[in-house]
Formats: sequence, structure tokens, C-alpha cells
Amino acid sequence: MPGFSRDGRRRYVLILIVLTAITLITLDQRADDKGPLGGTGRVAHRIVAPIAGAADRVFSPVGDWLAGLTDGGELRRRNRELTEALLEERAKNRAADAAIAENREYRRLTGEPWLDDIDHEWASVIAGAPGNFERTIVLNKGSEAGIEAGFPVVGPDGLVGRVLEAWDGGSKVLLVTDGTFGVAVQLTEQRIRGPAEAQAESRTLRLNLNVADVTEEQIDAIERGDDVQTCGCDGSEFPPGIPVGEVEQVELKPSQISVEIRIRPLLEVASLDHVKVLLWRAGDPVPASLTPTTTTTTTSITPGSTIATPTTTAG
Amino acid sequence: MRFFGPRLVPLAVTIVITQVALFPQLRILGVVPDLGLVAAVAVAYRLGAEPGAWFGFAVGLGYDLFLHTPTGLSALAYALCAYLVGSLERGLLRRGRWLPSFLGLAGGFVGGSIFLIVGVLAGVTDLGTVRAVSIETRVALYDALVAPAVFALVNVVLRDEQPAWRFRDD
Repeated sequence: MPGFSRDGRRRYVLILIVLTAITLITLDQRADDKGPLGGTGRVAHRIVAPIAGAADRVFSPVGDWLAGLTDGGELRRRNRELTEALLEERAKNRAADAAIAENREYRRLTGEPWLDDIDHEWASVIAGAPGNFERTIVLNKGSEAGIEAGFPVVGPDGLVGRVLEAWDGGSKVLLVTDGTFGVAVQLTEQRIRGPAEAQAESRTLRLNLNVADVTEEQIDAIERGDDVQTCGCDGSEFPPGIPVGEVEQVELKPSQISVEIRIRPLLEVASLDHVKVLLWRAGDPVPASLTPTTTTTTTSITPGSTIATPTTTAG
Repeated sequence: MRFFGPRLVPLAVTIVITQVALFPQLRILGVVPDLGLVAAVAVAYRLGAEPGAWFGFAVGLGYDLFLHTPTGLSALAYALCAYLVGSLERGLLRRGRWLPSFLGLAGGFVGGSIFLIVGVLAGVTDLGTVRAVSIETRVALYDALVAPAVFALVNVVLRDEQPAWRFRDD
């Protein structure tokens, strides 16, 4: 008797599932978290957030123990480095405190707000990325605290990332080390500005510059360890002055028309417990004194000239 | 086909909540396992390709709601992998304590490969890197580690159901 064989039914089910999944993928890509799928995700986050918070409190020691099993040697090495750095930094802190206080007083006298004067919300990190292909964290505050998608997030060392989505009771932050992250930066000393993009293959950010836009002297002056901050350029999602990272390597590309600057982010996710969400978005007023100026010339680098490429060690 | 919803829906919800709330704290070598994928493979092995595919689609879709990758990507990968296992289960050995780990490892590789390939086709370029392949390899190993527990859980939930491989008269 002709009919729908078992194999035929199974093939029909498979085709139906595949078509449905492809439709969902397409809709999600088009709506970009603004459609019903994004709204459903925010509701799901809101439902699971209390469980995630409780699990974080209970299972963090277990996670730390597991990390110790696999990363013990690296942790001990890192501990020694941090202890030495801490002793060095303590010696600098006393002089730095006085300088900061003097600078803050000067800025207040001239009417220039500090980053601290931007409205913000403190939040705690309650969970890491739920998946394996994203570098995100989940915070314990969201839309009820005025947090919205796109807000910058900073930590003790500098830029952490930006808010991806917010719901009542929590929010998800895209970290500066995620492969899809980008930020307009400037090298503080040399006043070189440009868009830095994170790399999926590594934790570094890459700033590619056209050699026609910078002088040879500026490039020669770049050294490993130079500070990199947000530049707050026109339309940037981040206000100026937020530390982003340090220069790790400078390389003139074989084409001789571009220079690649690799930036090591200051972000240390493992030790990140509390962050500050800046209630600020692109277009909000920023005092002119916080907007950096750029001094570039159009002198090209002559072919055959050498570009300083400091030796690097894996970090 | 019998309706397994009253048993599998709570199982799917439990799997998703455990995946997103608990396992980010239990990373090994920097990765979390694909609990939903392993559970879908277990359901497919127990009940057959069709229930496995539906279960994989549902639990994958629930997981996708919490991810930055496109919604539907995990659903598709889990469903296809479970369907494949359910279609091939007649050729598998029935006994052996190693079978859940083997299916978890194989399912992790197959499901992970589908996830990466479809993700690249959908425009997620981060999934087409050497790092992504390294991640999926570690995930598959973690899947093999958790598979015995997941298979045992699925067997408990479906304890009254005869395994699909016992019905040979198609």
C-alpha cells in the first residue's frame, strides 16, 4: 500500500528541521538582536540569571581548582611576575597619587570633567561566556539600572568592552579580546590615531595605518610598552582617555604601504570581579579638552628605509 | 511515532540551564562541553533519528538564545548530528562501557564541524580559524568526558522506552 514510508517521514522531518534552522539563522543575522529572537534571548537571560549567579557563588572554587590543574605552572610564573610588578608599582604610587590629585584639581578648575564624572553604574561579574566562541561576561545589573546596549564598560586596568545586550537584572558585555570587537584608539605619546580590531586567533588588537598618514619619526618613536587609549574620535562608541592596552609590536608590511601595530590589551578576565558601566553613548557631549589632537604630516616613508621593529617575546 | 514530549521537554530545559548557568564555571582547557549535543546523541541512540533530531533542534535552539553566534546555528548542528547518529545506530555495537564516550567524542567532532562550517557560511568569520578548530577539538574531548553521565541521565528519563535498535522490522 503506498504511503509515507518511515524513511520518507524521517527525510521530511530532517528537511523541515534544516529549513527552520536556516530561516532562524537568516532572521537573526538580519535583525541583529533587535527582533523577536533577540527579545526572546533577553527573556531567557533574565530567567537564568539568578541561577547563574548562585552557580557562580557555589562553583567558582571548583572552577578555580580545575584551572589550577591545567594551568598550575603558568599561574605560578604569572604570580611571580605580578608580585614583582606590584612591588614596583607601589613605589610609584605615592608620586602618582600626588600628580593625579593635582591634575584633577586643575581640570576641575578649568571646567573639564574626568572620566569619573561620567554617569556610571558599578556591577559585578556573575558569569563568563556560556559558549566557546565568544569572549563575553555577564553582569548582575541591566536595564533596571539604566544600562543599555552599546555602553562602554571599564575595569581597574582600563577598557573591558561594551554592553551587547541588557535585560532586567543583568547584561552581557562583549570583551575587548573578542574577535568581533573594534575600537578607535590613539597612541598617547605619538598621537597616532586609528581603528584597532581584535583578532579571533589571538588576544591582541591590530591597528593598521597607511604609511602616508604618519611620519617616519612617529613610527620610529613607537616602542614596545607604549600606552594606547581610546581616542573618542568622531562617532566613536567610547569616550576618550580610557586605557586600552600597550604596544606589543610594530611591523612594516611587505607591501611597504601600511604599518601594523599590535596592541596587547590590559584586560585580565580571570581577575575581573567588578566593572564600571559608563552611561555614555556616541554623540553624548565630551569636553573639547578631552578630545586629543593629532599632529601628522604627509611625508611618505622612502622605499628601503628601515622601520624600528622591537623584538618581542610571547606574552 | 510516539510523543516523548512530557519526558524530553523537562530534560531539554534542564540541559540548557545546566549548560549556561553551571558549566561556564567548570571550564577545562578553556572550554565548556556541548551538553545539548551529547544529550541529543543519547536520545537519538535510544529512540532513533527523528526524536533525536527534534530534541537536538530544541535544546540547540534554547542554547542559541544565550550565545552571540546566530540563533539557529547550534540547533541545526545538534539536529543534524543526532539524526546522523540515529540513522547509523543499527551499525553500532550494543554493549560496552566505552560506547557513550565514543559517541560523545564522535558527536562532538561531527556536531562541532557542522557548527563551524555552517557558521562560516552564515558569515561568522571567527569560526573559520585554526583557533576555532582547536576549540572544537577540546570541546569534543570534554564531551567524551561528560557523555557517560549524560547518557545515564537520558536512560533514566527514558527508562520505560525500548531502545530504537531493538525494532528491526522497518
